[in-house]
Order: sequence, then structure tokens, then C-alpha cells
Amino acid sequence: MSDLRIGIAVHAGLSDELHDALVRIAERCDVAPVSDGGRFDAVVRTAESTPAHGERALVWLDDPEAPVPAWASAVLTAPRTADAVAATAPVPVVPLGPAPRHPSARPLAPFTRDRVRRARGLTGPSVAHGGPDGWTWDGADVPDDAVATAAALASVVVAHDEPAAVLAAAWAAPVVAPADVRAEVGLPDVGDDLEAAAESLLADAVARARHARACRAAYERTYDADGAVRTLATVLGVRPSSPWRTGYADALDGLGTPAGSNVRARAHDALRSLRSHR
Amino acid sequence: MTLPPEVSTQAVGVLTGTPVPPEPVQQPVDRPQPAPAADARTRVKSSVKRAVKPVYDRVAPRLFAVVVRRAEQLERELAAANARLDALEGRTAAGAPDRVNLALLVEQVRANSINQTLLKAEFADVLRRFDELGMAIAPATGIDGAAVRLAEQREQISSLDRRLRVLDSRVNAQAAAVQARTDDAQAPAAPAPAATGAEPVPGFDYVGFERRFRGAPDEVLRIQRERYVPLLAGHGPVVDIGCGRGELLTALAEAGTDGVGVEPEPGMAAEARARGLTIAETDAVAFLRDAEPGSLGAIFSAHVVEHVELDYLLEFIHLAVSRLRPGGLFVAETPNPASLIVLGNSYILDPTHVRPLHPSLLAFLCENAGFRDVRLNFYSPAEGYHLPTVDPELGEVAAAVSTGFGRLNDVLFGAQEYTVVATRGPA
Amino acid sequence: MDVIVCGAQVPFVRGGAELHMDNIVKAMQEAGHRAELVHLPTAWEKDRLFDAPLAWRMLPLDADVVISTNFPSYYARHPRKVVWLFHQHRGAYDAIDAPWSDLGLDDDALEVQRQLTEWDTRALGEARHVFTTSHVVADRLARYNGLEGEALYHPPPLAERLHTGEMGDYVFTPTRLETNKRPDLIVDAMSHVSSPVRAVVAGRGSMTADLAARVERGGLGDRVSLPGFVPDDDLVEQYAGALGVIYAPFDEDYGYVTLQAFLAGKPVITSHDAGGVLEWVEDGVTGYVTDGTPEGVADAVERLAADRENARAMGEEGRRRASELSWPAVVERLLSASA
Repeated sequence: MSDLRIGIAVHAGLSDELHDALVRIAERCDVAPVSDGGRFDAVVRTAESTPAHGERALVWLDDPEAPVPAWASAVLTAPRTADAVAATAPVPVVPLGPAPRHPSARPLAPFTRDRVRRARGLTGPSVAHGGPDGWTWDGADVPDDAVATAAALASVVVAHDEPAAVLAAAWAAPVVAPADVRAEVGLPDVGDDLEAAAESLLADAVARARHARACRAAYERTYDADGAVRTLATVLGVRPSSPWRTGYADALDGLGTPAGSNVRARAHDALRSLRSHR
Repeated sequence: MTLPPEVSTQAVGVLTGTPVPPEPVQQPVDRPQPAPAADARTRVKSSVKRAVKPVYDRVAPRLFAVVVRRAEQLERELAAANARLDALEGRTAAGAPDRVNLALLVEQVRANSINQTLLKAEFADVLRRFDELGMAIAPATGIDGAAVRLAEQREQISSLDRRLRVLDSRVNAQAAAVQARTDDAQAPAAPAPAATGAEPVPGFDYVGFERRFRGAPDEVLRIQRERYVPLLAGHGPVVDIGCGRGELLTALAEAGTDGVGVEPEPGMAAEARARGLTIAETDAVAFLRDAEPGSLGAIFSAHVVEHVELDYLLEFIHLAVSRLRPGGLFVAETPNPASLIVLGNSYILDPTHVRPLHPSLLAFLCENAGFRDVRLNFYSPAEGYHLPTVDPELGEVAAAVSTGFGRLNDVLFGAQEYTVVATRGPA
Repeated sequence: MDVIVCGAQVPFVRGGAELHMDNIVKAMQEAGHRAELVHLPTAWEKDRLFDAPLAWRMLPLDADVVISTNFPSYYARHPRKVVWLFHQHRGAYDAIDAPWSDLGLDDDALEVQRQLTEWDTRALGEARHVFTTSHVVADRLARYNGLEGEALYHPPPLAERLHTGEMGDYVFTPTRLETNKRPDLIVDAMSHVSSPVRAVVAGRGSMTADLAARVERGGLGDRVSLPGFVPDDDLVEQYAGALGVIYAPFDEDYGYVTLQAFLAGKPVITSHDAGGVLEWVEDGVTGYVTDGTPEGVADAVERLAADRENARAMGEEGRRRASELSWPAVVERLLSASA
């Protein structure tokens, strides 16, 4: 999906998290060991190694306390340490790690949810609970193939386990979860009394909107590998080699435009007369 | 623009448990014909339309059908192409971990080969130093010739040592000669005549020999003390024949028994005297001849009697009997040739050994000389050489082997030294 | 520094937003920077809604700092982008149920609203800092996009020319004659005012005829004057000689009229649902916040007429507060946030 060619200059004994991050990169760009030679857009290194002259290097850090070497153009890190590292890093921080989950989920902000619920004739506070025993919607059981719908349309989702929290956050639901699940997913803190938290969110539209956005941001930080690699390409100043062919696809992808969105066809159309057809 | 399917009307129906019927397919709506206008152009248009319409009605549906079929076919092909692309993307994505692992492996190999290069460099460095060392020791031949060179140097040092000792003995001889002349208080002495004939050969370096082969001096002395201080204590005055530096005499003195040392080697004698001991720098027989009969409490010698000729030995024993007081002890330690390992090993090692003295022989000589009580004590079996014994319980063969090996051990590897303790009877 | 100010353009129309953008450019230049305005036409119909954002996305903006002001100019991409948000596309948010919004409850419209929200959140989230013109705008940003905005107030047009004067016998309102500005409220209120206070409602718009009709119906021809467009010099003098200013638009973003009134030392009569105006008008301190009914407004007018000294004092307090605003301060704030 990207024209990046990334070199790998790390070897054995590396952490699983670094391995995961490298796999995410490999799924989206060309990767090769630096020994192969040739031009690299960037090289992944650890803090102790030294880049070659004129090389753009990405440093992998898993310790927020560790200093960022002066030669690093950007920092690669696992999502769980991304915030802590970004707080002190002088260069952009790109979180990469887990494989994408719920890639087809699209964020629905609380205001949008309200309107969709209105359009579908759903009244009521619409609180969904999700956990190891399944999901409920305003107390009623939810069939398995409607779980995503519940996550996408609820005013507030009370998530009792990590899969439920991640699914809800992927759909930009305002998620209320116990402390351990919050820590796992990186969700904002609303206190440990889940019922009270859900009540207060239901009552305050502004707080709900802020919370939902923070939940979706936490999800993207961990599971949006495409976005992270795109950020990497931007940081490295690498442009797609033939944007006229793709019809501004990159710019649209960066905004999270669904594949079937009107604007893609319009962009393509706008350039159609400028393309030669052979 | 379509909402995500998860929030479609159908999906919400599943959520709430109220299934929604699928949307009816929209029929194309016929657009109402505009009312014909009055002007000529329109009238012509209308009449043309009226004429064409029947043809159009016949042909159009077939045309439409063709177009629709083609459109459907294109749609199917597009879907298939998309599916193939998705599959391709999926395969590429699935191959990502392998590509990463391969890259890591290549980097690992590179790092290893870098290490190897470094190691080789270090090794080359070590070899270089080794060469330099070799050059230092043996220029022009290097490390291979170093061993030979070192051996040569050892020879040179030994030869220097020998020459020094020759010089030493010559100086001693000269000093003695000067002493003699001074005693005569006569005219200045002419320099001692150089030895004529062949090149002076230094004597056997017994000191060095002992140092090399006798064993750790501390250990030897400890064993001596352990064996003989209890035996000799109270039998003063003790004469230690070949007392060396006088360790045993010192130990006896500590035990309250005085004694005299007989040590012909001047260096050792001097050291013994430095400890405050009385030393006679002479040989055993000479000393005993000078001694008063019945004046000595004990005569001790360790590894002396095997160094003297038979006549000397006989005189020594005879004098011992005479000079010891009643109840005095004659104690002589000597290697035990009845243990064959001794004959093959320690006995023949010393070139100054005259003859091996079988314990029974020495005992016979003592008895014959007039000692009342003659005992033999055996020490230091060569246990290191012992053949292993087998548990006789295991059977006849084992029993036979065990007995056999036991005998062999006794014969071959028995006590390597013995002491004869002979007591003089009443006058 | 080289600063590019970005805004949406409506060709052939020049309103408050355009004036504001020009003022930003001028203020930047006066502070010693090079500044340019880049504005692109925009379409707000749902079928073309995303065209201009995409166009902004592709623009090469080679400058040190980019200041984006409204939808869709905040879609510009720049590492040092600061947003000073005038407003988003209100037809997708707070005004979605207004008759002029083309986003209904059909699936197409719902998806447009969903995608616009996602796009807006991303584009605004990229900025180094998001300022808003008022708390009203910040509140909308929080409510619909979950983002934080910091209110950054700026001086109104004509700030350096406005001056105090006599507490006259008329209440003045310069505004566009459109429904959301509610000039009809003023006309209706005047029919309940018994004191000899006149009203001057200056400006043009689609409600001109309607207002004239109201004046005639109410027999207020000698009480209410509708002078139409008033040039700046006259405007300044009208402000200076007024007793007070009535300004009660519906859910206004900011409200230049309020600040202009204050800089002229005049108290402001407004209503409880006037939006950003309420961030400046403090009931009994710098003016009156009424219930928005003609009677309520009339009552406030009466109170001003009854106690001119108090009116002057309130106007003076308003003037004190409004004179704290300065363009250099705004420039400094915008540029420091871009670092």
C-alpha cells in the first residue's frame, strides 16, 4: 500500500513487541535487511546501534525513560508506551504493534449515533453492556451477529472485558470499563463505579463526545497500523510515486474515507479527462 | 454513500429482534410526457416521434437487455478481479512475518560474521604476539625454535652453575690452603697448583639432586619429626649423622633432648650452627672414633647407610655399639629394596647409592655387631601403585584375583623405606 | 515569518468572515510578518460537500505557519497548522434540523454526516492548537467532535475609530436583516416602549420588506427608522450618540455589534439565547439579558431610558472590557501556539 522501503538493522534477541511492529511494517511496505544494500527510505535500529552516514533511521524504544538518540528521525514504539514516549520525544512517535482488529469498523460520534437511532426508530437511553457472556442492549440480550450494531449505536457501552472494549472503541462508542480493561486498551479513566460513570455520560452530551473521541483515539493508537504507516510515510516525506493514477487515494485514506464513499468517485472523475487511455 | 452495514435498517432489526422486510426493488418511473407545444418545430418532433415510437418499442427492450447483460457481466468480472486482488493482498500480508524473520536472520548472520571477523582479527593479533615472543626467544627461527633455544639456555645456565661450583670449590681449596699456610705462619704461599691434566670436573651436585628428587622439604621434615622425635626424645645426647640444616636436632632440642649433628657439607653445617646447634663437620666413622665409649644416648641416620661401602658400614655399626651407653638407640632409616618399586624407581635414581640393604641384612648386621634388641619398622607403602582388589564375595575367580593382586601389591608396591631400631644391651 | 491564512471563499460575497480574515492578514503584516490570504470556493450541498476539503488537502502550502479559520480551510495540511475556528459546517451539526440544511434522516445523509464528523475530527485534530472565536464555537466543537478549543477574542471592525459620545435618545442596531439576527424582535419590542426612545435598525437583507411592513403595521413610522446600508463614518457616529444597543441574534457565534457597542461606551440589550453575545453582556453590569420576548426587550429599553447614568456606567464597564482586546495580542497568541 505504500512505496516505502524500510531496512531492518536489528537482529536476534529482540522483544516480541519489536517483532510485531516489524511485521506490521512488512505487511504494508517493502522490508529488507540492510545488508541487502540499496536505497532505504528509513532503517529500523535500536538505540545502541549507529546509523550509516546519510541514513534516515527509526529508533525502536520500549522504555519511556530511555533517551531518544540524536540520529533518530522518528521513534517506533509499542502502543502501550506510545503516550509516555511521545511526552518527551523531540521527534514524531509512531506506535505499531498488534495486528489490526475490526478494520471495517467506522467511527460514529455520539451526535451521529443519536441521529441514526432516531432514523431507525430506537428510543430510550440505549446503554449496551458487553462482556464474556455476550452483549445486552438496554437489558435485552443481543444476538451475536448484532453485537457490532450494538457497539455502533449505543449511547454508552459498558465493557466488561477487553474484546468488548476494543470493539466498542473501534466504533467510537463512549466506553466505560473496569480499571484492568482500561489499562489494557488505553481508555480514558472515568472512575471505577461503572454505573455512575455511564449515568453521568448519558446526562452530559459534551462529556460523552469528548469521551467517545478519546476511546476511538486509543483504539487507533493500538490497532490502526495503516494509519501509523501512513504517518511514517508523512514523517519521512515520502509521497506516493504516481498520485495522479490513484486519484488522491492517499489523501482520502488518511481521512478515513470508506471505500464506497462518493468523494472517491468524484476525485477519480475530476482527473479522468487528464489521464491518457491507451 | 452508504452507512456501514452494521447500522443498516436490517442490522438494527436483528438487534432489536424485529426483522425488517427487505426493501422492494425500485421500479423505474415513467417520466410524464410534456404536453406538445403549438409551434412548428414541436409539431415535427411529435410526428417523428409518433412514427418512430413503434419501432423503438420493438427494438429498445432488446437493446436494453443486451446492455444490461453486458453491464452485469462487467460487474461480475470486476467482482472477480477484486476478489483476486484481495486474495493477493492477503497472501502478501500473510507473508509479512516470514519476510521479517528472514530479514532478522540475515542481519543475525551478518552480525555473526562481523563477530567472526573481529575474532579472526583478535586471533591474528594473538598469533602476531606469539610470533614476536618466538622471535624474542629464538630470533630467526621463531616460536618453533624457541623450545630448543630454551633448552640450550638451560644447558648454558647449568654449565655456568657447574663452573661456578668448580670455582667455589677451588676458592674453598685455596682458602683452606691459605689457612694451612697461615697456621704454619710461613712465607707467603705460592698459589695453589692448578690441577694438572684434565679439566676440573665438579662433583655430583647432591644438593641439587636432593632438591629435585627428595620431595617437599617441609613434608620430609615433618614426617621425620613425627617418626623419630618421640622415639629419640629422652635418649640424649643424640647424634644425627648427616643432619643437614639440623631440623631434627632443633625439634629434639625443643623436646628437651640435646644432641650433636654430623654434617660434612660446610654450607649446611654453617646453617645448622646458625641455629645454635653443635655440628661436627666430619664423617660418621671419624666422629664416632673420637667419641667416648658409652657416651651417646642415640645414633640416628636417615638415608645414610645405603651410601657407604660394606667395610665402612661394618665399622660404623661396630663403633655404634661401642659408643652408645647401655640402652642407647641405633636408628637408621634406609630405602626398602624388598619392595620392588623402590628398586626400579627411587633406589636407582640416586647414583651415590652403593648397595640396597635388605631389611633382614641390616637387622643381621646389627644383631651380629652386638645389639641386644633389633626391630624393623616399615613405612610408606606405594599405595598409589596398588592393583585394585576385587570383592571376594563375587565368586571364586574374584577371590583368586583378589588374593593374587593382594600378593602382588605386597611384593611390588610394599613399604618403600624401613628403619632398624637397635638397642644396646647392658654393658 | 511567512504566514498563510486560510479561509473559505464565497465569490462575490463579502461579509463578516471575509472581513475577519483580512484583518488577520493585516494584523500579521503589522506585526512584521509576511502574510497572505488563501481562500478557495466551497460548496455546502451534501453531494459536493467533500470536494473542497479534498482540494485543501492537496494544496502545497509553503509557509512557516498556516492559520485556518473555517470549514473547509482547516483541511489544509501543514506541520505547523493552527486553527482559529470561526465555525464548522453548521448544517451538519447544530443547524442540522434547520430548514436550510440538506442533511435529513435518510441513509445517504446520515453517512454524509458521519463521514464529515470523522473528517472534521481528524483534520482539526492535526492542528497544533485549536482556537475558537468564542465559547459558543468551542462548545459546539466539543459537543459534536469531542475536541477542545480555546476561546480567543479579537477586536471588532472599526475598533480604532469607535468613540464614546452623548447618551442619546435612540437605541441603535446595525445588523444584516436576516432571520437569525432577529431584527423583527426590535421592531416588535418598540411597540411596547412608552418612553420617548427611538430605534434605528441599520442594514440590508432579506427581511427588509418584512420589517418595513411591521413598522407600518405597528404605526411605528416615527419611532423606528430603517436607514438601510450605513457607511462606516455614519456608523461610528450612530454608535457614539446612542443610548444603548439592542443585539439579540439567535445563537450568534461571536457578535461584533456587542463589542462595537462597548467600544462606543454603550450598554447592550440582548436575549438569553443569543449565543456568543452572552460571553460579553453581563446582566446589570454591561447591559441586560432579557427573555427574548418583545416585552422583555421593551422593558430593558425603558430601564435604560429611566436611568441614563446607570446606562452610561454599564457602557463604560463594557468599554473597559472590550478595550482589552488587541490584534497584536491575537497575533502573538496564534503564532506562539504554532511552535
